[in-house]
Amino acid sequence: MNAQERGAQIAGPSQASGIRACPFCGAPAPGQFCPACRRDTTWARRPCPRCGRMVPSLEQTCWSCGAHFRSELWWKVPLIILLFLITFVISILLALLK
Amino acid sequence: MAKLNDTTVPAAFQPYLEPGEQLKHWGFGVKQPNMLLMIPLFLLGILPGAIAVALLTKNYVAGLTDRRFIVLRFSGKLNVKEIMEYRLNNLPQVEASTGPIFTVIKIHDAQKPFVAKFHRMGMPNNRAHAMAMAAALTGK
Repeated sequence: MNAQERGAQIAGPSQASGIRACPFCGAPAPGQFCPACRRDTTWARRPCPRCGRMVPSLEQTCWSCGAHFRSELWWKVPLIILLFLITFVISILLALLK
Repeated sequence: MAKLNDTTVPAAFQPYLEPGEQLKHWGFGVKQPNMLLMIPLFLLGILPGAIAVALLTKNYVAGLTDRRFIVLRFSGKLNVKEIMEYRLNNLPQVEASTGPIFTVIKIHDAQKPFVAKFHRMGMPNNRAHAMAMAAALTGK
């Protein structure tokens, strides 16, 4: 049994019920590609922190409000470096106090 | 970290379900940074290393519906950061393994690869849900 047959078996007859909406523009999108915005409706997506609209993860700017996305690492990496520096300084101070 | 249970996790999926779509199984999984990064971080300092690993770990809740396998990456109190979905009728290659502690689900998709391990203590019934998802996705 290949992956598609397996998926169809799991999906069952309810696959056809209901009208799917494009997660990006909200237009009815029965297929994989939205007829209105031409995007792939199965793309990985994220909510825009400013306007809340769904934006494909591959896109760096919100197509609705123009907000620019930044990687979460922009604050995590400096924080991690700072933590190690503080630890290093504390260990040096403790060594000098002995 | 949000309180994850059989009430809060299905509720987190509700906005992303299609009309008539039913959530069957759900679970909490994590993806930790590469071991080649984790070991030097812990060698440099245990406490800052543990904090760094916690910061770099990605948290997911995964859900299997009658149509899709949906993955929500979240932070904090189930604040959804990213949504990935895999149609069951167009499923890429899936690998799953179950050990005494973890169930690992790996999806080989060129555009949106996914790998996460589901700890048996991640949330109540996490192991049962993760094993059910793994079995459904791999067909074993």
